[in-house]
Amino acid sequence: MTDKKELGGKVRRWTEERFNLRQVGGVLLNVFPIIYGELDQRLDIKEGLQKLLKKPVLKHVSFWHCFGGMTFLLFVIQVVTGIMLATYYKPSAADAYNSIKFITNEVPLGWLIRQVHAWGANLMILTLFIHMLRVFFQGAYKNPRELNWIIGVVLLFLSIAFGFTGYLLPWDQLSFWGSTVGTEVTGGIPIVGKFFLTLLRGSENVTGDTLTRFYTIHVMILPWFTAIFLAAHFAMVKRQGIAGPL
Amino acid sequence: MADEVREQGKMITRRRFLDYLLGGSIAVSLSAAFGVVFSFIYPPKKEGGAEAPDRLEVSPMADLPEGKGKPVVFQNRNVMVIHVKAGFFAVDMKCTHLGCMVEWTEDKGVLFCPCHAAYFDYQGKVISGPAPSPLPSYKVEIVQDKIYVSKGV
Repeated sequence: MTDKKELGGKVRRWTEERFNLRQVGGVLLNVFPIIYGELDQRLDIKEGLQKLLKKPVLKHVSFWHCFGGMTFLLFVIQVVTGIMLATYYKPSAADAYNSIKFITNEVPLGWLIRQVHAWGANLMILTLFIHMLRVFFQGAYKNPRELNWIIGVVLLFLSIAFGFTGYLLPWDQLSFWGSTVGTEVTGGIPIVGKFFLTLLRGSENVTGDTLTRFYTIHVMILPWFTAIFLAAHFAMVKRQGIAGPL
Repeated sequence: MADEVREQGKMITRRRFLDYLLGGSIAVSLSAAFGVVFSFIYPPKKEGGAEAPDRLEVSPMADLPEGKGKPVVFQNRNVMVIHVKAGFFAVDMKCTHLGCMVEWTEDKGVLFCPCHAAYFDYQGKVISGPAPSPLPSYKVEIVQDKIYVSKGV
């Protein structure tokens, strides 16, 4: 008992010697007066913000309800690491592989950012599936939330498209043949298969044209669509509330 | 008056007509814009390739000893020219399973697809693996000790 008290005192003294806690607290305390003071006077946000922040979490909301948020967190990580990678990556058949090698071997912590992006992509699909299974087994997709389920399915397809287009970008043997096999499936559609295959690949076979095409889809098209659908997804959760207990 | 016309169902009101006109012009403008986007997105035909000659000179016979295979590009297709005991053969290298490129394995004397382990013999016939149909084959001619590949069997 006394040992614990002594330890607590030691920690407090150690912290107080090194950090000016009052100042740190002061800075934090000064942020709120701005939001609740000057900003509130002009924008009238205090009431809305309080309502949002002090909204109680429902009793039946469990750990399983966290996977949607985790998927979103991983998506944010993907956006940040993706933008970082894009500063060095060169989307052409001649440069792509070398720029990936450069990121991995030369750029400080480049290996880390690349691996976080790759792992994040896989984990995002995993958390997305758990979220989807939770919604399914709790029946949270039922009336009046059918439309949000459909939007969720669209987000699933967008995430898979993210993974599929991103897979080609390292431009190594694995990604090249993976994309060859993956896109070849499109050619199996009767009559129009060949047409869509050429549209998707940008040429008859997987070439540098496919690489720039996939890069454009990966960094320009999919992020916008995902952001729009996510906004709709969250707005509807906010509007309809979390589905009741089983 | 307007209600009467609506009930008769034979004529449309002025408002309805203008609605159709507006909707139609929006649809036409949008599809024109979509047409522009689409024709930009769809990959243009590249020159050369398909206009290549009907017959491709591969190499002198001596350069392809028995047991060896030589990959060539013939009319935009990757073709493997093979020399085996039975003679010269040429087969398309695009695997009929999912489009990977098959390779000639000298020691076994078969064509092998590294993606999902499909095996083909030197005529392109399926030996084992997931391939649903044989590889297309090409005609090989020997003229004055030179190997030529052309379409047909």
